Amino acid sequence: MSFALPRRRLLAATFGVSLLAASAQLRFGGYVAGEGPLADWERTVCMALLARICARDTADAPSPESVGAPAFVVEYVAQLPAPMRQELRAFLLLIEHAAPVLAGVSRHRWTLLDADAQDRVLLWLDASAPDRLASAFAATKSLFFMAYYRAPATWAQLGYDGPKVVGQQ
Amino acid sequence: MSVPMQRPADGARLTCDVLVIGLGAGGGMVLRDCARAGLQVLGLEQGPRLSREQYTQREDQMIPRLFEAGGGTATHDMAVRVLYGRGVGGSTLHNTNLCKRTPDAVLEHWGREFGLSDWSPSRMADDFASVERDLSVSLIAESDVNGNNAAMARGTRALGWRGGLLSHNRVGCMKSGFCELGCAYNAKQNTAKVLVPEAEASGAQVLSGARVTRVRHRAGRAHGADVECTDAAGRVVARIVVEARVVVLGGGAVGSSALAQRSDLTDPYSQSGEGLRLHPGALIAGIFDDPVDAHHGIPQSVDCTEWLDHTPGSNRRVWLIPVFAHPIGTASTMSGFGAVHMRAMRSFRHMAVFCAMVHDETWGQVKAMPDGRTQLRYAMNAADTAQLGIGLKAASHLMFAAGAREVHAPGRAPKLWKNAGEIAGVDWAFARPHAIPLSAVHPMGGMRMAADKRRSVVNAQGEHHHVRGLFVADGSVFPTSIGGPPQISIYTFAHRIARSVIAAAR
Repeated sequence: MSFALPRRRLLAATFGVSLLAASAQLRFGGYVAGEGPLADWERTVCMALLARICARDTADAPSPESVGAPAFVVEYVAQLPAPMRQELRAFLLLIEHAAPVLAGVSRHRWTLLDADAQDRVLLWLDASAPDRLASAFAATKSLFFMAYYRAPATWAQLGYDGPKVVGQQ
Repeated sequence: MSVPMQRPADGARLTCDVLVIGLGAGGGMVLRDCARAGLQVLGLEQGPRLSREQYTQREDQMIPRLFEAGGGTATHDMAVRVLYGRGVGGSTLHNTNLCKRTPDAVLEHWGREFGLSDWSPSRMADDFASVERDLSVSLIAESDVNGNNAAMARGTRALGWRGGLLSHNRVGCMKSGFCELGCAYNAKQNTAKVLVPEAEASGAQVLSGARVTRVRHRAGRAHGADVECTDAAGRVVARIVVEARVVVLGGGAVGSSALAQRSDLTDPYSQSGEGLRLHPGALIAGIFDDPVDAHHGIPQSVDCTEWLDHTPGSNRRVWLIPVFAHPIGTASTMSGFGAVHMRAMRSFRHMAVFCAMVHDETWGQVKAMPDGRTQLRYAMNAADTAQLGIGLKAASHLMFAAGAREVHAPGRAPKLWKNAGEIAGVDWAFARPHAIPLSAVHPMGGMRMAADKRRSVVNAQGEHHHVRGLFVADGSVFPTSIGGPPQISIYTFAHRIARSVIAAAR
């Protein structure tokens, strides 16, 4: 038994699929490639979150980059138990693609927004989002605060004198 | 001196009289008591056995080492962060050494309501005293009260409220303030320092990195366990079987409840995992003109009990206790993010923090899921939520009475008050799960003890109602919340349950 697709319908289908692929590429592609255990998009979202969550109040505070926070985040996420990593990945996906729309800030993905718009989305997650999303954001913030405040260079600004034991691993 | 047990080869079969699964306060006590009784006893702990050099006083290193799931456990709706220990010593490694006996009103309630008349205050008095001697429990000296605790003591006195100094189990304390990250000076008189060495000296064997996947049972009798031995990275490197005459669960409210469910133990009334309580707590921060340096010195040396009445049905079910953390813990609790958050963090040295911990009535559940996860289902009821508001209000008054220049209630809509008068008109309905950060460090229940097998898992001797030779000796046996630090209660319950274990193993 033979099956023939009319030529016009085939052309329309091809065009439709190409359009979808192009839209998906715009929406889900274009992340800067990098090495390591995280997918390119995960790393991009994580680093952008780190920059906003640990944004400095004054220039004298160490930057997240200067204290090695990005590398810590990548390593930490890679070592999370699989179920927890799954949950984090789902939340990153939500921040990147859904939160800007849900917050009424933008229809673009979060990492393409400027810092001010990114903060407005995060403020919505922090203060106004449904309970579970807000709690997930609080847990995510803890990860980035750990990445930043683990560094002795950040302690001086708090007046924290750090561990009393030295040389222990 | 004992020789540490080597990891058995894959496929090995070990035998012993008593197998203890989980070496926190309860499991450690049974291990010690059974070894002293001359029984051949093996203790398994899924976490590591830390050496003194591994206590680095760094949050980023110690939290993953000392807490289950790296401290990332929460109730299934993520409303309450739940912290409990892992490793040889369990939660006694990271606790702040608070020692209080189970309140008389709670024990009397359990006697009346759950048929536990043998666990009355008078019958337990000698056992409490014995445990306190073993762990060198003593009252903290007034001169050892640090800035954070002094603030609570000052506020309590100024308001004429009840409260006072607490007892701890610490000897040789350096007052470094790092208790919640484990003691680098080995001053905690806990399971790891006191009980396990005593047990090993009496012939007990201890295997860390040993995860029990199933309790073996046949014809209504427990006879051992299937065990996965893991390396430092958590990878399974050997599977072994342990055969024992008696099996004791000491994995805590979460661990023991989940293991019982994964082992398909007979449970005709579906009681395994039921009745989880958490002691959820919320925080109030006060900013003082002078440095408080709350991170220095002994934490939690005083409390305020003005709003705590253990009588069942009481509307005063809040225990007020100073708490403090190092930078990561503090940052995680404070509101907001970015520059605003960092500015607030600069008050670190001037900050005192009080916790309002609820003696909870909410009925929660531990559920072992088919995918291997363990869910903590806990939806705080209205009465407990109201207690949060009562507690935060009281803690705020304490802060101002202690001299705070401003008081913060962290949360999604953070509050800031400049004087006590501003508290009067506050609608405390904002103090609810998800709206404010809630943490819990005392999971209890799940394998509850009672005479009636329709509403409990173990009998008054700690033995499973439906599986002979299987005992539970940890905080999971508590039929209700106890409304205070649980370690002395757990040690003492286990000490008494150990007698039944020994009798069953002989």
